[in-house]
Amino acid sequence: MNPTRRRARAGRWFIAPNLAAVAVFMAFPLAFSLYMSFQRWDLFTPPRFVGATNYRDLFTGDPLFGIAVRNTTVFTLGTVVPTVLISLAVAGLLNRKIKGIGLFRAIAFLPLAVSSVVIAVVWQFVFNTDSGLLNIMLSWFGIAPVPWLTEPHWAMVSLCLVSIWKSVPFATVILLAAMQGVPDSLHEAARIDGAGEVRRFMSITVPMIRGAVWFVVVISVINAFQAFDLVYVLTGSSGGPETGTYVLAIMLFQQAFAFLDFGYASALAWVMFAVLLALTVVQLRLSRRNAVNQ
Amino acid sequence: MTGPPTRHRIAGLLGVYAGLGAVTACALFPILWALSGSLKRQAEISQPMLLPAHPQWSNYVEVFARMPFWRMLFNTILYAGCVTAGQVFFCSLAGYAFARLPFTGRDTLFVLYLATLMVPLTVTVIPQFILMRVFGWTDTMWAMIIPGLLGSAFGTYLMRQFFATLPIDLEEAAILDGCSPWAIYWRILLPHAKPAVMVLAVLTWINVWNDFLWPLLMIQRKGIATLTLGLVWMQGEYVAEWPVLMAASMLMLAPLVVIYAIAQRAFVSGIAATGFGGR
Amino acid sequence: MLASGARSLTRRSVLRGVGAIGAAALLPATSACGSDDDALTFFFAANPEEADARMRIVNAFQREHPDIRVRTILAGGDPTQQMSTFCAGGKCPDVLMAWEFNYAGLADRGVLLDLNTLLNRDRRFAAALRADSIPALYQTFGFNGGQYAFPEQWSGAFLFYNTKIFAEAGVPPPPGRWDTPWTFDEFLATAAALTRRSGNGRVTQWGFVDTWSPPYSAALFGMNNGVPWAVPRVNPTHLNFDNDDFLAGIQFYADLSNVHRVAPAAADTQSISTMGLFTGGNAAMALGGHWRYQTFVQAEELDFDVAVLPTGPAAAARGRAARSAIGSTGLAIAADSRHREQAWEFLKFAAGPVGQSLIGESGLFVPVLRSAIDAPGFTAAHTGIRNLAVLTGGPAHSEGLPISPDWQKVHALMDRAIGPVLRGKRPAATLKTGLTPQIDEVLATA
Repeated sequence: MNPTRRRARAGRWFIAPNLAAVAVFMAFPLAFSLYMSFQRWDLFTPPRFVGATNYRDLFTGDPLFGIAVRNTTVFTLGTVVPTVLISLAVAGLLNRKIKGIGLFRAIAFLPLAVSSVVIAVVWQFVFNTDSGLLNIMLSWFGIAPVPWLTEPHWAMVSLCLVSIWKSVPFATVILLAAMQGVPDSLHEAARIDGAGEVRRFMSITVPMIRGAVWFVVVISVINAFQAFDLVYVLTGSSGGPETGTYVLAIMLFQQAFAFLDFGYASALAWVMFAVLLALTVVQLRLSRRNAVNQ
Repeated sequence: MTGPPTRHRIAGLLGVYAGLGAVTACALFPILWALSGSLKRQAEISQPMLLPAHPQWSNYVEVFARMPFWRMLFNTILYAGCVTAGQVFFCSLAGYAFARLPFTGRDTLFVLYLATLMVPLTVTVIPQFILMRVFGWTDTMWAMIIPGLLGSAFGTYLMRQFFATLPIDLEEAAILDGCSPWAIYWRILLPHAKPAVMVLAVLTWINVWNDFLWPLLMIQRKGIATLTLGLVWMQGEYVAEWPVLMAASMLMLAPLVVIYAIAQRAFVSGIAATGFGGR
Repeated sequence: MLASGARSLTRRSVLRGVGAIGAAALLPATSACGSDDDALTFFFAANPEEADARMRIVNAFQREHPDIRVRTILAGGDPTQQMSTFCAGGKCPDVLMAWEFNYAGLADRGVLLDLNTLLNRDRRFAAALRADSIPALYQTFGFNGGQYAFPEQWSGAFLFYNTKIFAEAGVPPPPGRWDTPWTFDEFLATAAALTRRSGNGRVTQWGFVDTWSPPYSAALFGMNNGVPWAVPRVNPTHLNFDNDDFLAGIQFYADLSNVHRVAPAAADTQSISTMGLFTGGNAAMALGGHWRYQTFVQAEELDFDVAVLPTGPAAAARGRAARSAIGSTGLAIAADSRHREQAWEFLKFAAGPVGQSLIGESGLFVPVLRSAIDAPGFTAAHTGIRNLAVLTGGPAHSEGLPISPDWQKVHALMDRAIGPVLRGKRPAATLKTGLTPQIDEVLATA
């Protein structure tokens, strides 16, 4: 057997297990969930074909969908915008070669390794109305305790705060890596010209890492859109006080595993997929344009 | 630019350190507050001191009485270990094949792999749940191990990109000598792939360790439960018993902090390079 | 470098491989260790004190039937969602605890076994059960002609009150018989008289706390104003959220915390639960069901008794007695259980005379069979309670939640709409226009 054919055969063997896993656990579920979205199925009785009814009900007849969309949008904006701004500042602070910077970086990135579940439980304690740290600190300034997790609007604020706390390290890692790629010569030139620290940061560093910033924005949006673990553990499986934190992922979970309406939940999943796909395409376009500009 | 530091520069440096201190405080305060809460008595939890007069280490003992912590730790390590080992092996194997071996349909297949990377978890979780039901793996260890064992599209993508950057002449000599592709992979390329393997291993390990939705759907018995699930069960059973809950959280945090301390570089560079994580 | 790198990597991969193989070899061993795949699985929800008492029942069963091993699964978090998930995943527990508000959905989908099929084979037991049962409770678990669970306990909802606080304040204790209830106004006056504030305005003692679930407690006050949740009770197409008397009861409950300030708002109770307030002697009255009894009994220095709920003006006008919620749970068998006979034995034990008398003696629940309620063992388990008639007469004076397969969705809508009412942001009358049509729509598609 000639070597090329032998290598080709080896190639097929090498990918076989991995391909099997991707086919069974990724490709098949993808197709099957599309199929399910056109059925009415509770997994106990046989599925019933209902065409596009699930999609129609989603957009016209379900008040919970509107609530979930609104909450998810608020949560996404309320997480991503502060995250990007804060992590730009933090990355800028960490982008130095001063003493001890390694330790500061290690601590700043620590939340990355912690699971959303532990984060949520810990923050529940922080947000506690009577004995939580935040309300204790507020009482030092004479401010009345805030119902962080028991009032719907405050619950959303609390959720955003925790989500920001969790996302900033992630964004900072990426932005810092990008900043370290900005050539020192540019900074030197600007410093000689007399530009101050902040001015240099705004006019040189930030524009140079525009691609990374866009990347962070899109990834953060995609993550926030699908957030489940944090919401479930922090504010409960039914979307918080009076559905104050009822986001799309919680709705999906509830429709499937509490209401046993798997077809409807699959339709919801595909709607979410479509939105995320659109966002990814937008990101690809924007990053390509940025790359061209640079 | 050398020279005596000006007052301006010292002030600037102090400002930077102050900023860094603020960042550190923000990153640590919830964890420190939880730690201090875990040492207090129930009645003391609203008092703002960091360390109580009589630290109640008994809260930690109580955690072990209330949930099978060691069993859950063992389970979590088992699942994370098996999946990580499987991912590293099968994804690097497939990654090498995609990068270097000339089989038909290779490039089209890889594009399809890339396409699946964009599929969110929400779409696949329900059919995966049904698959587990069909296989009869619900509430068994298999459900926690098998789906990830043979690797994923992401891992293969990572390894393939890495192998593609390795210089061809590494293999050239071996090919001319008539080495089999397996030997080339095992003896030559894999040793060179250490950085990528480390990144994949750490990312996978932490991901499986912290996974919540899948154990929530699959596990009924305490005997095969993971730590994350155990913590949420405890949260539901012992409502508002904060000291013990915080102690449990700290115990769960500890192994991850250790892993983070050891593998921080790989972990952080992995996230920087791939943009994966943060979920 | 290549050689050492190769060696170290090989060593590591070998170690990993060995680890994986070793783990794989361990797998069957570990699952065999915990493999009571032949055991009868029993799923239930219980607070820690209840769980202890329940294990006593389970152990008694295992002593009587040494050939049947029972593996218990304690619900963590949301039991309804866990039941649905477990059964949808194909591993339905053999014996399931059933609640009024969640069993109909599972029964409708054929997840639960129709116990009539088993009763028909066991005529003697069936007759004994029918004779000894309380109809309202037994019928709670009957749906569409089938019987999907046997009631196992009655928890109800009534008032616990701190006898020491009442005595020290010189306030007469609340009535202890369902047919001689007190009025909303008397209740409010009592609560106001027993609410104490410290110098800076913070409340040190509450007149009333709710240890149940606020939307349901609010509806309980609505029920006690003479209007049931829905007519008919099973598979209704309309709930009475547009009935003025029902809404008046809800408004009264909401006003307790917002207007009269005799009860804490939700935010006040987050760090120390309402139960903690009562057990700590900081609340005069607590609304709860019998599932709280164990917690209160085990609290040190708490002297308490039970009392009936107050009735509103509309109910008084019709001369109706006070009503408790049914709050009954039952035991069901999974339709695809592979241990059907053993599950049936367990059900007969727990829901039959033997188990029920054990339950009565344990003080864990109020039994549902008349013989067990009247037995001296039940009285002996409640020595501190003088108003035993509240418990013994409770099941007969109960009115239940509507039974509907879509209750989960109704609950979600209720939670969203009643929340602002309970916080005082909106009057209860808004439920007429907002919540009612939404619920009607959900129930119409059932």
